[in-house]
Amino acid sequence: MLGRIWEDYFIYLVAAVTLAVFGLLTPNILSAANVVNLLTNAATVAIAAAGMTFAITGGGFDLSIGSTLALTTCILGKLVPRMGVGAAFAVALAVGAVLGTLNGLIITKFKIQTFVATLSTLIIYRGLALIYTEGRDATLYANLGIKVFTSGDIAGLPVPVLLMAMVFLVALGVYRLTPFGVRVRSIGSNLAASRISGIPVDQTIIAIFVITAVTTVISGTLLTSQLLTGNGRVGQGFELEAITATILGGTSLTGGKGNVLGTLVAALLLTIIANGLNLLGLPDQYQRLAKGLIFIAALALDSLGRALRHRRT
Amino acid sequence: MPTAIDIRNVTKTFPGVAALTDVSFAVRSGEVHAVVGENGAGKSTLMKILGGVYQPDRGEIDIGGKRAHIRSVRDAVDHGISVIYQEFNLMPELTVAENIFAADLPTVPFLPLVRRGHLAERTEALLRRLALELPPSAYVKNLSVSQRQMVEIAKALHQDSSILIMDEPTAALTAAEVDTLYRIIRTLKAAGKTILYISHRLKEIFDVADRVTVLRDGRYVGTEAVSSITQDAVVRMMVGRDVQHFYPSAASSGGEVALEVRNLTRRGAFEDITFTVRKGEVLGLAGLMGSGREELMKALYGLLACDAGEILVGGRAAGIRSPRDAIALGLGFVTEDRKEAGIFPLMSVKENVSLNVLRRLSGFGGLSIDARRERALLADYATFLNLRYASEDQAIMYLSGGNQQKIVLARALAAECGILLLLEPTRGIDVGAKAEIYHLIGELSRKGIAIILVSSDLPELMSVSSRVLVIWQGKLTGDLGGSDVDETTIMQCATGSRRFTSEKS
Repeated sequence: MLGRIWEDYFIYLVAAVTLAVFGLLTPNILSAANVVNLLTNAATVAIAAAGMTFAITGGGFDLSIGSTLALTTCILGKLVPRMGVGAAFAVALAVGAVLGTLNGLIITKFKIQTFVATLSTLIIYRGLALIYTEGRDATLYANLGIKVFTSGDIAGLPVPVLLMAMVFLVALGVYRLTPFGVRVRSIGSNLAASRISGIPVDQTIIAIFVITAVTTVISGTLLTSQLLTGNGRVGQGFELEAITATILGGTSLTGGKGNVLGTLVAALLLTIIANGLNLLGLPDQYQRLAKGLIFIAALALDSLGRALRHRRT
Repeated sequence: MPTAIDIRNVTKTFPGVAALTDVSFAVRSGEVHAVVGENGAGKSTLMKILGGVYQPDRGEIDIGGKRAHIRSVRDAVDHGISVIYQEFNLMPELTVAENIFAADLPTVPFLPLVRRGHLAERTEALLRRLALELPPSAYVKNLSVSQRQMVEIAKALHQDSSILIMDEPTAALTAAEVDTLYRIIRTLKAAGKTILYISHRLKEIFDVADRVTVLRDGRYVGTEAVSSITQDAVVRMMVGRDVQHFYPSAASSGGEVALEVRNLTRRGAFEDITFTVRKGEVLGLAGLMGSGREELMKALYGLLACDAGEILVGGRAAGIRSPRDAIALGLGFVTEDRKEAGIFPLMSVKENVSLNVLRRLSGFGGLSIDARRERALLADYATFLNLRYASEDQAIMYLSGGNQQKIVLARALAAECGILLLLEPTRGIDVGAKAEIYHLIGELSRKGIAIILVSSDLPELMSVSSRVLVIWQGKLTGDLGGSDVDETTIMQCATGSRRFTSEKS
């Protein structure tokens, strides 16, 4: 029992301690303006990580999302000037659903591991993005309507924060309340057993990859709204950020057990660290060093907690 | 009595192997029908055909008098067939209720939302009907093996199937748990269910089945009423010859002390364990599941740390902190979990034997493996252990369980161990291979190797060992030698109702 609580809430402790440390070092981090800024920055990776939580809980990975993110910026960059923000966003979502279905079909029909399958589509989807934009920037400086996704607000609440809250509410509901949520945990827990139990394994896997792609399109839209540019080269390594947030949040790397809220907290934590190090004025190269060390410390603490319960085996 | 399942001329071939050839027999409605045969006899293939996992190449199956085409798991369920497979098919990270209803969770009308309350109620009702005591909201990963077995049964029966197929249901159960299973089977039979029961353990078949069908090499051998046949006759049908001296005569009580354990304690697992094993002795270690016997064996091999006490090998304090230390001191270990921790499934037969002794087989100052010597090593053990494989480069996963087990044993022996720790060495392997393993244990003890054997199969443990230690809740409660070794005394010690120490001779 205690073990489960530790696993589920460990990340909250780490986030609180990190926030406290940075709060002492740079009081600015807790200013209202910076908190909104933090949440807005966190939203991009957090939303895609919400999708990734389903993939990893289901026993897989989606490595293609960095490319899906880039393709989203390209689609918006090219289509917003032609058809407006709403229609272009709808097209991007539809393309995301197709790319996700494609990932799912490759995995289930050709029986290829998710890691390898999405490693291949990572290359293909980025290729598509570069072909589509002919390797050039598709700028939106004349179409500032898209800025609603970063600087807009509804009743004083910033749009990206609202979007992030909505995505996580839906994700939490799907994870905890629906048969789909149980099926995802089921196939991540024991794939062969799920098949023999009569669970629609293939449909579930395809749905998972539609979710990762669609959440990534939402993230990509936020990114486009910040960059005001569509570019086939953005988002390299984005999949690793999403995976880091998911694992740090307590989702089991081996599948079967996810933690949707943990992912959100971990995504915030990652942003706090980046933001805090920025405010401290640490140069980028040292920031990378510091980030890596902080992750190792967090993961080591986590397994130390586990080891204390299980002892050497 | 009407026929529940009529199997006619069923044939199934896998690339290069005929798994079933022209098998025909009928299962009567409401009977417990056992299917036996050595590994590779085709039992599991037949069950998977009935369960919709495989399709037969030829032949027909009638269910309840009507032709059935079972193309998927779903089809099998629609025909009222549920299968409990040999390997546990549960999702450890799901609750009992979620596991049972995984494929058809009750939902709110028109919405994809699970009705948690309803799910709990249905699970409780089902468990009550089957007289199973299980907590519906517990995670399966926290359940004991026998509780998991109960979840499997509840899962198989939640759709009210009329035919239940059980594939080796007792493979991981203790004697007391087997009794619980018998009780459940009788309840199901009384409720009119037809049960197909597969097991290697003949005693169980004579305890629980009405009739028994024997398969050998994928062919049908015969069906007999259990009341009109003897165990020996069934064994003859299974192996196609007489198996003489199934158990070897118990080994000698040995020579000088090989291993001594003094006051060994690991908190929460076992405490104050003291005993000795002599060269050439086979020491049986009995105890119920969870008694600490596996932990004790793992501690001896350095897989688990101890809090107090000492281990002496050849009279000297051993200080075993890891399996590497144990191997260096001449200890060999054969795990009870062959699949998970015994074999390297994708590696070859040859590599599976030579893995521990690569240094000895290497040439060029450790830079290469001397293939000739590696082959010679395997050839030695292939003869000694009567190994059967197509090629030394064949992946071990394609061999039968019995042959895999012998290869795991060969790996321990290749390291030239003087003390061999065997955990459940005959679990899940067929009668013929069991007899060979017993024979081998006898051979090894005659060569002067000290053997500690853990087995849940009490008749096996008693006849193979020269002395039996019994452990209960982590404490030694029995030390039985010679004529004192009997089932009643062992069970009394294993359940903590008696302490017994034989006079030292």
